[in-house]
Amino acid sequence: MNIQVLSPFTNVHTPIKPMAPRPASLEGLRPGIIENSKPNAQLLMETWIEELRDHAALGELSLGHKSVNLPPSKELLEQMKANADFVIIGTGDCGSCLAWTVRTAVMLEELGIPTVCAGSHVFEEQFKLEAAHSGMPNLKFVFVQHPLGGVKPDGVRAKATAAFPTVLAALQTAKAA
Amino acid sequence: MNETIQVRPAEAVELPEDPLAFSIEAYKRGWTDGLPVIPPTPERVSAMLAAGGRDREESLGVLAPRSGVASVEVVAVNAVLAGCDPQHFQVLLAAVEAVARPEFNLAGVNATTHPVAQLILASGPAARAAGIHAGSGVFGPGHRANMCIGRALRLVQYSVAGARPGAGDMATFGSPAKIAFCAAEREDASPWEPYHVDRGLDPDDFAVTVFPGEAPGNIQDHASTNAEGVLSTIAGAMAHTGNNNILYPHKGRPVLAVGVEHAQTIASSGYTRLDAQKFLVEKAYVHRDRLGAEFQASIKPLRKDLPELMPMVHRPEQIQVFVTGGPGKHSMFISTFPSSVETTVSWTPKGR
Repeated sequence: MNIQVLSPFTNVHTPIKPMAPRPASLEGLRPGIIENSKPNAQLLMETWIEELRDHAALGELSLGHKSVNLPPSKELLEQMKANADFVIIGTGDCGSCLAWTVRTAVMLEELGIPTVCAGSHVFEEQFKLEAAHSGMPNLKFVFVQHPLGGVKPDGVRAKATAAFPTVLAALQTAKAA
Repeated sequence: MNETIQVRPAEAVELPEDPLAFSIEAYKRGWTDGLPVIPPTPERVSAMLAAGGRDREESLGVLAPRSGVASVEVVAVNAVLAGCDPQHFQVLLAAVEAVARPEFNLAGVNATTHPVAQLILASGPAARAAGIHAGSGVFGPGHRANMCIGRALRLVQYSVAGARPGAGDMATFGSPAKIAFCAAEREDASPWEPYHVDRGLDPDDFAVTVFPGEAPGNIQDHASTNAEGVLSTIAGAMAHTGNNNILYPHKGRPVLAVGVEHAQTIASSGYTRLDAQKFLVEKAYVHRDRLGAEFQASIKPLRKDLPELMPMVHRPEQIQVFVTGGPGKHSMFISTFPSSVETTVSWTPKGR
Protein backbone atom coordinates (compact mmCIF):
# COMPACT_ATOMS: atom_id res chain seq x y z
CA MET A 1 0.00 0.00 0.00
CA ASN A 2 1.22 3.51 -0.76
CA ILE A 3 0.95 6.73 1.19
CA GLN A 4 1.18 10.32 0.06
CA VAL A 5 4.34 12.15 1.10
CA LEU A 6 5.96 15.47 0.23
CA SER A 7 9.26 15.70 -1.63
CA PRO A 8 12.25 17.28 0.16
CA PHE A 9 13.45 18.83 -3.08
CA THR A 10 12.85 22.42 -4.00
CA ASN A 11 12.94 24.75 -6.93
CA VAL A 12 16.13 26.61 -7.74
CA HIS A 13 16.73 30.32 -8.13
CA THR A 14 19.14 30.60 -11.03
CA PRO A 15 18.28 33.39 -13.44
CA ILE A 16 20.19 32.76 -16.68
CA LYS A 17 22.93 35.34 -17.20
CA PRO A 18 24.38 36.36 -20.57
CA MET A 19 28.02 35.71 -21.36
CA ALA A 20 30.31 38.32 -22.85
CA PRO A 21 30.68 38.17 -26.63
CA ARG A 22 33.97 36.66 -27.83
CA PRO A 23 36.28 38.69 -30.06
CA ALA A 24 37.20 37.46 -33.53
CA SER A 25 40.85 37.96 -32.66
CA LEU A 26 42.95 38.61 -29.57
CA GLU A 27 45.16 41.03 -31.50
CA GLY A 28 45.84 44.12 -29.43
CA LEU A 29 43.75 43.00 -26.46
CA ARG A 30 44.88 43.37 -22.86
CA PRO A 31 45.01 40.14 -20.87
CA GLY A 32 44.05 39.80 -17.23
CA ILE A 33 44.89 37.12 -14.72
CA ILE A 34 43.19 36.63 -11.39
CA GLU A 35 45.14 34.26 -9.21
CA ASN A 36 43.65 32.95 -5.99
CA SER A 37 46.82 31.99 -4.09
CA LYS A 38 46.53 28.27 -4.86
CA PRO A 39 49.99 26.77 -5.40
CA ASN A 40 51.17 27.21 -9.00
CA ALA A 41 48.07 29.16 -10.05
CA GLN A 42 49.98 32.22 -11.16
CA LEU A 43 52.67 30.24 -12.97
CA LEU A 44 50.07 28.19 -14.83
CA MET A 45 48.17 31.20 -16.08
CA GLU A 46 51.25 33.29 -16.87
CA THR A 47 52.46 30.40 -19.02
CA TRP A 48 49.27 30.65 -21.03
CA ILE A 49 49.67 34.40 -21.43
CA GLU A 50 53.17 33.83 -22.77
CA GLU A 51 51.82 31.29 -25.22
CA LEU A 52 48.99 33.61 -26.24
CA ARG A 53 51.59 36.26 -27.08
CA ASP A 54 52.91 33.88 -29.74
CA HIS A 55 49.48 34.01 -31.38
CA ALA A 56 48.65 37.68 -31.06
CA ALA A 57 50.26 40.97 -30.05
CA LEU A 58 48.68 41.35 -26.63
CA GLY A 59 48.64 44.47 -24.53
CA GLU A 60 49.87 44.84 -20.98
CA LEU A 61 48.95 42.13 -18.47
CA SER A 62 46.77 43.10 -15.51
CA LEU A 63 47.47 40.79 -12.61
CA GLY A 64 44.86 40.56 -9.88
CA HIS A 65 44.71 38.63 -6.64
CA LYS A 66 41.74 37.26 -4.79
CA SER A 67 41.13 35.23 -1.68
CA VAL A 68 40.95 31.56 -2.47
CA ASN A 69 37.43 30.90 -1.32
CA LEU A 70 35.70 34.24 -0.97
CA PRO A 71 33.96 36.57 -3.41
CA PRO A 72 36.15 39.05 -5.30
CA SER A 73 36.54 42.54 -3.94
CA LYS A 74 34.80 45.40 -5.71
CA GLU A 75 38.26 46.86 -6.38
CA LEU A 76 39.39 43.70 -8.17
CA LEU A 77 36.37 43.73 -10.46
CA GLU A 78 36.97 47.42 -11.18
CA GLN A 79 40.63 46.71 -11.92
CA MET A 80 39.71 44.09 -14.48
CA LYS A 81 36.93 46.18 -15.99
CA ALA A 82 39.37 49.06 -16.49
CA ASN A 83 42.46 47.14 -17.58
CA ALA A 84 41.59 43.77 -19.11
CA ASP A 85 39.82 42.77 -22.31
CA PHE A 86 39.78 39.12 -21.31
CA VAL A 87 40.61 37.25 -18.11
CA ILE A 88 41.95 33.87 -17.09
CA ILE A 89 41.03 33.03 -13.50
CA GLY A 90 42.11 30.19 -11.27
CA THR A 91 42.79 27.85 -10.06
CA GLY A 92 40.09 25.48 -9.09
CA ASP A 93 41.86 22.41 -7.83
CA CYS A 94 39.74 22.03 -4.73
CA GLY A 95 36.06 22.45 -3.95
CA SER A 96 35.78 25.90 -2.39
CA CYS A 97 38.40 27.50 -4.63
CA LEU A 98 36.57 26.33 -7.74
CA ALA A 99 33.23 27.52 -6.33
CA TRP A 100 34.53 31.07 -6.10
CA THR A 101 36.52 30.78 -9.31
CA VAL A 102 33.28 30.05 -11.14
CA ARG A 103 31.22 32.65 -9.32
CA THR A 104 33.84 35.33 -9.93
CA ALA A 105 34.04 34.37 -13.61
CA VAL A 106 30.27 34.78 -13.87
CA MET A 107 30.60 38.30 -12.45
CA LEU A 108 33.32 39.13 -14.98
CA GLU A 109 31.25 37.79 -17.88
CA GLU A 110 28.35 39.93 -16.71
CA LEU A 111 30.70 42.91 -16.84
CA GLY A 112 31.34 42.06 -20.47
CA ILE A 113 34.79 40.51 -20.00
CA PRO A 114 35.36 37.14 -21.74
CA THR A 115 36.69 34.84 -19.06
CA VAL A 116 38.03 31.34 -18.84
CA CYS A 117 38.22 29.39 -15.57
CA ALA A 118 41.26 27.22 -14.94
CA GLY A 119 41.02 24.05 -12.92
CA SER A 120 42.26 20.51 -12.60
CA HIS A 121 40.53 17.73 -14.44
CA VAL A 122 39.21 15.73 -11.49
CA PHE A 123 36.89 18.64 -10.67
CA GLU A 124 35.43 19.05 -14.16
CA GLU A 125 31.92 17.92 -13.20
CA GLN A 126 31.87 20.19 -10.16
CA PHE A 127 32.90 23.16 -12.34
CA LYS A 128 30.01 22.47 -14.69
CA LEU A 129 27.59 22.04 -11.82
CA GLU A 130 28.66 25.33 -10.22
CA ALA A 131 28.36 27.16 -13.53
CA ALA A 132 24.89 25.80 -14.21
CA HIS A 133 23.75 26.67 -10.69
CA SER A 134 25.21 30.16 -11.11
CA GLY A 135 23.06 30.80 -14.17
CA MET A 136 25.82 30.47 -16.78
CA PRO A 137 25.88 26.85 -17.99
CA ASN A 138 28.10 27.62 -21.00
CA LEU A 139 30.86 29.27 -19.00
CA LYS A 140 34.29 28.43 -20.44
CA PHE A 141 36.78 26.18 -18.67
CA VAL A 142 40.25 24.86 -19.20
CA PHE A 143 41.33 21.78 -17.29
CA VAL A 144 44.85 20.61 -16.71
CA GLN A 145 45.84 17.25 -15.40
CA HIS A 146 45.36 17.02 -11.65
CA PRO A 147 47.18 17.82 -9.40
CA LEU A 148 48.55 21.34 -9.51
CA GLY A 149 49.77 21.53 -5.94
CA GLY A 150 53.00 19.75 -5.14
CA VAL A 151 54.24 20.02 -8.74
CA LYS A 152 57.57 21.56 -9.76
CA PRO A 153 57.60 24.53 -12.19
CA ASP A 154 58.58 22.49 -15.26
CA GLY A 155 55.71 20.14 -14.60
CA VAL A 156 53.29 23.05 -14.31
CA ARG A 157 54.46 24.54 -17.60
CA ALA A 158 54.04 21.18 -19.33
CA LYS A 159 50.50 20.88 -18.03
CA ALA A 160 49.78 24.41 -19.24
CA THR A 161 51.12 23.73 -22.73
CA ALA A 162 49.06 20.57 -23.08
CA ALA A 163 45.87 22.48 -22.32
CA PHE A 164 46.70 25.64 -24.28
CA PRO A 165 44.44 24.97 -27.32
CA THR A 166 41.44 25.02 -24.97
CA VAL A 167 42.44 28.44 -23.63
CA LEU A 168 42.67 29.85 -27.13
CA ALA A 169 39.33 28.41 -28.16
CA ALA A 170 37.62 29.69 -25.01
CA LEU A 171 38.61 33.31 -25.59
CA GLN A 172 37.82 33.78 -29.27
CA THR A 173 34.91 33.18 -31.57
CA ALA A 174 34.79 29.65 -32.98
CA LYS A 175 35.71 30.93 -36.42
CA ALA A 176 38.83 32.69 -35.16
CA ALA A 177 39.95 29.72 -33.09
CA MET B 1 18.59 45.03 -6.94
CA ASN B 2 16.28 42.68 -5.05
CA GLU B 3 15.35 39.70 -7.17
CA THR B 4 12.00 38.09 -6.59
CA ILE B 5 12.51 34.57 -5.33
CA GLN B 6 9.81 32.21 -6.44
CA VAL B 7 8.75 29.59 -3.89
CA ARG B 8 7.06 26.50 -5.25
CA PRO B 9 5.02 24.14 -3.07
CA ALA B 10 6.56 20.79 -2.21
CA GLU B 11 5.61 18.10 -4.69
CA ALA B 12 3.32 15.33 -3.41
CA VAL B 13 4.22 11.77 -4.43
CA GLU B 14 3.03 8.26 -3.57
CA LEU B 15 5.55 5.96 -1.89
CA PRO B 16 5.29 2.63 -0.04
CA GLU B 17 3.80 2.79 3.44
CA ASP B 18 5.96 -0.06 4.76
CA PRO B 19 8.80 1.60 6.77
CA LEU B 20 11.65 -0.35 5.22
CA ALA B 21 10.28 -0.10 1.68
CA PHE B 22 9.72 3.61 2.19
CA SER B 23 13.27 4.22 3.38
CA ILE B 24 14.74 2.22 0.50
CA GLU B 25 12.64 4.09 -2.04
CA ALA B 26 13.50 7.43 -0.42
CA TYR B 27 17.17 6.53 -0.64
CA LYS B 28 16.86 5.62 -4.31
CA ARG B 29 15.32 9.02 -4.93
CA GLY B 30 18.21 10.78 -3.21
CA TRP B 31 16.17 12.00 -0.26
CA THR B 32 18.34 10.61 2.52
CA ASP B 33 21.89 10.31 3.83
CA GLY B 34 21.61 6.51 3.83
CA LEU B 35 19.96 6.17 7.23
CA PRO B 36 16.25 5.35 7.51
CA VAL B 37 13.81 8.24 7.29
CA ILE B 38 10.31 9.08 8.50
CA PRO B 39 7.66 9.55 5.77
CA PRO B 40 6.91 13.27 5.41
CA THR B 41 3.15 12.92 5.14
CA PRO B 42 1.17 16.14 4.70
CA GLU B 43 -0.11 15.74 8.27
CA ARG B 44 3.40 15.46 9.78
CA VAL B 45 4.65 18.36 7.71
CA SER B 46 1.67 20.47 8.79
CA ALA B 47 2.38 19.73 12.44
CA MET B 48 5.97 20.80 11.94
CA LEU B 49 4.88 24.00 10.22
CA ALA B 50 2.44 24.82 13.01
CA ALA B 51 5.30 24.65 15.53
CA GLY B 52 7.45 26.92 13.41
CA GLY B 53 5.03 29.80 13.43
CA ARG B 54 6.18 30.95 9.99
CA ASP B 55 4.48 31.16 6.61
CA ARG B 56 5.09 27.88 4.75
CA GLU B 57 5.80 29.83 1.56
CA GLU B 58 8.41 32.08 3.16
CA SER B 59 11.91 31.75 1.76
CA LEU B 60 14.69 31.47 4.33
CA GLY B 61 17.30 31.97 1.64
CA VAL B 62 18.86 30.55 -1.49
CA LEU B 63 21.35 27.81 -0.64
CA ALA B 64 24.56 27.17 -2.56
CA PRO B 65 25.75 25.41 -4.57
CA ARG B 66 22.45 24.39 -6.19
CA SER B 67 20.79 27.75 -5.53
CA GLY B 68 17.92 25.85 -3.95
CA VAL B 69 15.15 27.92 -2.43
CA ALA B 70 14.87 27.02 1.26
CA SER B 71 11.17 27.54 1.86
CA VAL B 72 9.84 27.00 5.34
CA GLU B 73 7.77 24.14 3.91
CA VAL B 74 10.64 22.25 2.33
CA VAL B 75 12.69 22.64 5.51
CA ALA B 76 9.74 21.12 7.39
CA VAL B 77 9.70 18.17 4.97
CA ASN B 78 13.38 17.55 5.65
CA ALA B 79 12.79 17.90 9.39
CA VAL B 80 10.19 15.14 9.29
CA LEU B 81 12.47 12.92 7.22
CA ALA B 82 15.25 13.38 9.79
CA GLY B 83 12.95 12.40 12.64
CA CYS B 84 12.50 15.82 14.24
CA ASP B 85 9.71 16.61 16.64
CA PRO B 86 7.78 19.84 16.08
CA GLN B 87 9.49 21.29 19.17
CA HIS B 88 12.80 21.08 17.30
CA PHE B 89 11.63 23.04 14.30
CA GLN B 90 12.34 26.62 15.37
CA VAL B 91 15.97 25.78 16.06
CA LEU B 92 16.24 24.21 12.62
CA LEU B 93 14.65 27.22 10.92
CA ALA B 94 17.12 29.52 12.65
CA ALA B 95 20.02 27.28 11.64
CA VAL B 96 18.94 27.35 7.99
CA GLU B 97 18.65 31.13 8.13
CA ALA B 98 22.12 31.29 9.66
CA VAL B 99 23.84 29.28 6.94
CA ALA B 100 22.04 31.23 4.22
CA ARG B 101 23.64 34.51 5.29
CA PRO B 102 26.45 35.73 3.04
CA GLU B 103 29.07 35.81 5.78
CA PHE B 104 28.66 32.06 6.32
CA ASN B 105 29.86 31.56 2.74
CA LEU B 106 27.84 28.42 2.11
CA ALA B 107 29.20 28.20 -1.44
CA GLY B 108 32.63 27.64 0.03
CA VAL B 109 31.57 25.61 3.07
CA ASN B 110 29.56 23.12 1.06
CA ALA B 111 31.91 22.77 -1.90
CA THR B 112 35.24 22.58 -0.13
CA THR B 113 37.48 19.51 -0.07
CA HIS B 114 38.11 20.43 3.59
CA PRO B 115 35.77 18.29 5.76
CA VAL B 116 33.69 21.16 7.09
CA ALA B 117 30.42 20.36 8.81
CA GLN B 118 27.90 22.75 10.30
CA LEU B 119 27.79 22.76 14.10
CA ILE B 120 24.53 24.07 15.52
CA LEU B 121 24.85 25.56 19.02
CA ALA B 122 21.55 26.39 20.69
CA SER B 123 21.77 28.86 23.54
CA GLY B 124 19.54 29.92 26.37
CA PRO B 125 15.82 29.16 26.24
CA ALA B 126 16.09 27.90 22.64
CA ALA B 127 18.09 24.91 23.80
CA ARG B 128 15.70 24.19 26.67
CA ALA B 129 12.58 24.51 24.55
CA ALA B 130 13.93 22.08 21.97
CA GLY B 131 15.32 19.67 24.57
CA ILE B 132 18.86 19.84 23.21
CA HIS B 133 21.31 17.97 25.39
CA ALA B 134 24.45 19.58 26.82
CA GLY B 135 25.93 16.93 29.10
CA SER B 136 27.84 13.69 28.58
CA GLY B 137 28.00 12.70 24.94
CA VAL B 138 26.89 16.13 23.79
CA PHE B 139 28.29 15.62 20.29
CA GLY B 140 26.53 12.27 20.05
CA PRO B 141 25.20 9.72 19.91
CA GLY B 142 22.30 9.22 22.23
CA HIS B 143 20.27 12.40 22.34
CA ARG B 144 17.34 12.70 20.03
CA ALA B 145 17.10 16.47 19.61
CA ASN B 146 20.83 16.78 18.96
CA MET B 147 20.81 13.97 16.42
CA CYS B 148 17.59 14.85 14.62
CA ILE B 149 18.12 18.62 14.37
CA GLY B 150 21.72 18.16 13.26
CA ARG B 151 20.70 15.56 10.72
CA ALA B 152 17.85 17.72 9.44
CA LEU B 153 20.23 20.59 8.68
CA ARG B 154 22.41 18.11 6.79
CA LEU B 155 19.40 16.82 4.81
CA VAL B 156 18.59 20.43 3.92
CA GLN B 157 22.14 20.76 2.57
CA TYR B 158 21.63 17.51 0.72
CA SER B 159 18.26 18.12 -0.93
CA VAL B 160 17.90 21.91 -1.00
CA ALA B 161 21.50 23.13 -1.31
CA GLY B 162 22.52 20.18 -3.48
CA ALA B 163 25.62 19.42 -1.40
CA ARG B 164 26.03 15.75 -2.22
CA PRO B 165 29.28 13.88 -1.74
CA GLY B 166 31.27 14.12 -4.94
CA ALA B 167 28.80 16.51 -6.57
CA GLY B 168 28.25 19.74 -4.72
CA ASP B 169 30.09 18.58 -1.60
CA MET B 170 33.66 17.84 -2.62
CA ALA B 171 35.01 16.97 0.85
CA THR B 172 37.88 14.59 0.19
CA PHE B 173 36.98 12.40 3.15
CA GLY B 174 33.65 13.72 4.32
CA SER B 175 33.16 13.60 8.07
CA PRO B 176 31.05 11.88 10.70
CA ALA B 177 30.21 15.43 11.82
CA LYS B 178 28.32 15.80 8.55
CA ILE B 179 25.77 13.25 9.73
CA ALA B 180 24.51 15.25 12.71
CA PHE B 181 26.25 18.02 14.66
CA CYS B 182 24.13 19.88 17.18
CA ALA B 183 24.73 20.81 20.81
CA ALA B 184 23.68 23.04 23.66
CA GLU B 185 25.76 24.86 26.27
CA ARG B 186 26.16 23.85 29.90
CA GLU B 187 24.83 27.16 31.15
CA ASP B 188 24.16 25.51 34.50
CA ALA B 189 27.84 24.73 35.03
CA SER B 190 29.64 27.38 33.02
CA PRO B 191 31.63 29.96 34.97
CA TRP B 192 31.11 32.44 32.16
CA GLU B 193 28.08 34.05 30.62
CA PRO B 194 26.31 32.11 27.87
CA TYR B 195 27.77 32.27 24.39
CA HIS B 196 24.83 34.21 22.94
CA VAL B 197 25.13 36.79 25.72
CA ASP B 198 28.81 37.18 24.89
CA ARG B 199 27.61 38.02 21.38
CA GLY B 200 25.45 40.85 22.65
CA LEU B 201 22.10 39.12 23.15
CA ASP B 202 20.04 38.97 26.32
CA PRO B 203 20.06 35.81 28.43
CA ASP B 204 16.38 35.25 27.67
CA ASP B 205 16.81 35.55 23.91
CA PHE B 206 16.23 32.45 21.83
CA ALA B 207 19.40 32.05 19.79
CA VAL B 208 21.16 29.61 17.52
CA THR B 209 24.69 29.89 16.18
CA VAL B 210 26.05 27.78 13.33
CA PHE B 211 29.81 27.27 13.07
CA PRO B 212 31.63 26.04 9.94
CA GLY B 213 33.47 23.41 11.94
CA GLU B 214 35.27 20.15 11.44
CA ALA B 215 34.66 17.13 13.62
CA PRO B 216 35.94 17.94 17.12
CA GLY B 217 39.36 16.81 18.31
CA ASN B 218 39.88 15.83 21.90
CA ILE B 219 42.12 17.62 24.41
CA GLN B 220 42.71 15.83 27.68
CA ASP B 221 44.45 17.25 30.72
CA HIS B 222 43.89 15.37 33.96
CA ALA B 223 46.78 16.96 35.80
CA SER B 224 46.63 20.74 35.70
CA THR B 225 45.22 22.59 38.69
CA ASN B 226 45.21 26.13 37.30
CA ALA B 227 44.29 28.11 34.22
CA GLU B 228 47.80 28.37 32.87
CA GLY B 229 48.21 24.61 32.94
CA VAL B 230 44.92 23.72 31.27
CA LEU B 231 45.22 26.50 28.71
CA SER B 232 48.78 25.53 27.83
CA THR B 233 47.55 22.05 27.01
CA ILE B 234 44.67 23.48 24.97
CA ALA B 235 46.99 25.85 23.13
CA GLY B 236 49.24 22.98 22.17
CA ALA B 237 46.32 20.99 20.82
CA MET B 238 44.96 23.95 18.85
CA ALA B 239 48.22 24.59 17.04
CA HIS B 240 49.21 21.87 14.63
CA THR B 241 50.54 21.69 11.10
CA GLY B 242 48.11 20.78 8.36
CA ASN B 243 45.33 22.62 10.15
CA ASN B 244 43.36 24.92 7.84
CA ASN B 245 43.30 27.72 10.41
CA ILE B 246 47.08 28.01 10.23
CA LEU B 247 46.73 29.45 6.74
CA TYR B 248 44.65 32.45 7.77
CA PRO B 249 45.43 33.58 11.35
CA HIS B 250 44.07 37.05 10.58
CA LYS B 251 40.54 35.83 9.88
CA GLY B 252 40.01 32.21 10.95
CA ARG B 253 37.58 31.68 13.83
CA PRO B 254 38.22 28.30 15.42
CA VAL B 255 35.95 26.89 18.10
CA LEU B 256 36.88 25.71 21.58
CA ALA B 257 34.27 23.63 23.39
CA VAL B 258 35.59 23.75 26.95
CA GLY B 259 34.64 20.87 29.21
CA VAL B 260 32.96 21.78 32.47
CA GLU B 261 35.85 20.64 34.65
CA HIS B 262 38.45 22.44 32.54
CA ALA B 263 36.30 25.57 32.57
CA GLN B 264 36.03 25.48 36.34
CA THR B 265 39.78 25.04 36.71
CA ILE B 266 40.43 27.94 34.34
CA ALA B 267 37.93 30.16 36.16
CA SER B 268 39.34 29.20 39.56
CA SER B 269 42.47 31.14 38.60
CA GLY B 270 40.33 34.21 38.05
CA TYR B 271 40.26 33.90 34.27
CA THR B 272 37.33 35.31 32.35
CA ARG B 273 36.47 33.98 28.89
CA LEU B 274 38.40 36.91 27.42
CA ASP B 275 41.43 36.16 29.61
CA ALA B 276 41.42 32.60 28.32
CA GLN B 277 41.14 33.79 24.73
CA LYS B 278 44.05 36.21 25.24
CA PHE B 279 46.19 33.43 26.71
CA LEU B 280 45.46 31.21 23.72
CA VAL B 281 46.35 33.94 21.22
CA GLU B 282 49.75 34.16 22.88
CA LYS B 283 50.39 30.44 23.32
CA ALA B 284 48.68 28.70 20.40
CA TYR B 285 51.41 28.82 17.81
CA VAL B 286 53.26 26.50 15.48
CA HIS B 287 57.00 26.72 15.25
CA ARG B 288 57.88 27.62 11.66
CA ASP B 289 60.46 24.85 11.42
CA ARG B 290 57.71 22.27 11.73
CA LEU B 291 56.53 23.26 8.25
CA GLY B 292 58.27 22.02 5.12
CA ALA B 293 60.03 24.59 2.93
CA GLU B 294 57.55 24.32 0.07
CA PHE B 295 54.59 24.62 2.41
CA GLN B 296 56.18 27.69 3.99
CA ALA B 297 56.65 29.23 0.57
CA SER B 298 53.06 28.52 -0.41
CA ILE B 299 51.57 30.27 2.60
CA LYS B 300 53.82 33.32 2.60
CA PRO B 301 51.42 35.27 0.36
CA LEU B 302 48.55 34.41 2.70
CA ARG B 303 50.21 35.33 5.97
CA LYS B 304 52.34 38.25 4.82
CA ASP B 305 55.09 37.10 7.15
CA LEU B 306 56.18 33.86 8.71
CA PRO B 307 57.43 34.57 12.22
CA GLU B 308 59.38 31.85 13.95
CA LEU B 309 56.36 31.28 16.19
CA MET B 310 53.30 31.32 13.94
CA PRO B 311 50.09 32.19 15.85
CA MET B 312 46.86 30.35 15.04
CA VAL B 313 44.85 33.55 15.43
CA HIS B 314 45.71 37.21 15.83
CA ARG B 315 42.90 38.44 18.07
CA PRO B 316 41.20 36.95 21.17
CA GLU B 317 37.68 37.36 19.81
CA GLN B 318 38.50 35.10 16.89
CA ILE B 319 38.41 32.07 19.22
CA GLN B 320 34.83 30.98 19.83
CA VAL B 321 34.56 29.65 23.37
CA PHE B 322 31.63 27.92 25.03
CA VAL B 323 31.24 25.36 27.80
CA THR B 324 29.58 22.03 27.21
CA GLY B 325 29.84 18.29 27.87
CA GLY B 326 29.71 16.07 30.93
CA PRO B 327 32.07 15.05 33.72
CA GLY B 328 35.70 14.50 32.75
CA LYS B 329 38.83 16.49 32.20
CA HIS B 330 38.45 16.94 28.46
CA SER B 331 37.80 19.79 26.05
CA MET B 332 37.33 19.76 22.28
CA PHE B 333 38.98 21.86 19.61
CA ILE B 334 37.06 22.41 16.39
CA SER B 335 39.00 23.73 13.43
CA THR B 336 36.93 25.84 11.09
CA PHE B 337 36.70 26.85 7.47
CA PRO B 338 38.68 30.10 7.65
CA SER B 339 36.71 31.95 4.97
CA SER B 340 33.44 31.61 6.82
CA VAL B 341 32.11 33.45 9.85
CA GLU B 342 29.90 31.73 12.44
CA THR B 343 26.41 33.18 12.32
CA THR B 344 23.89 33.75 15.09
CA VAL B 345 20.14 34.03 14.56
CA SER B 346 17.83 35.01 17.40
CA TRP B 347 14.07 35.13 17.53
CA THR B 348 11.10 35.72 19.77
CA PRO B 349 8.62 32.84 19.97
CA LYS B 350 4.97 33.61 19.48
CA GLY B 351 3.15 34.67 22.61
CA ARG B 352 6.19 36.02 24.42
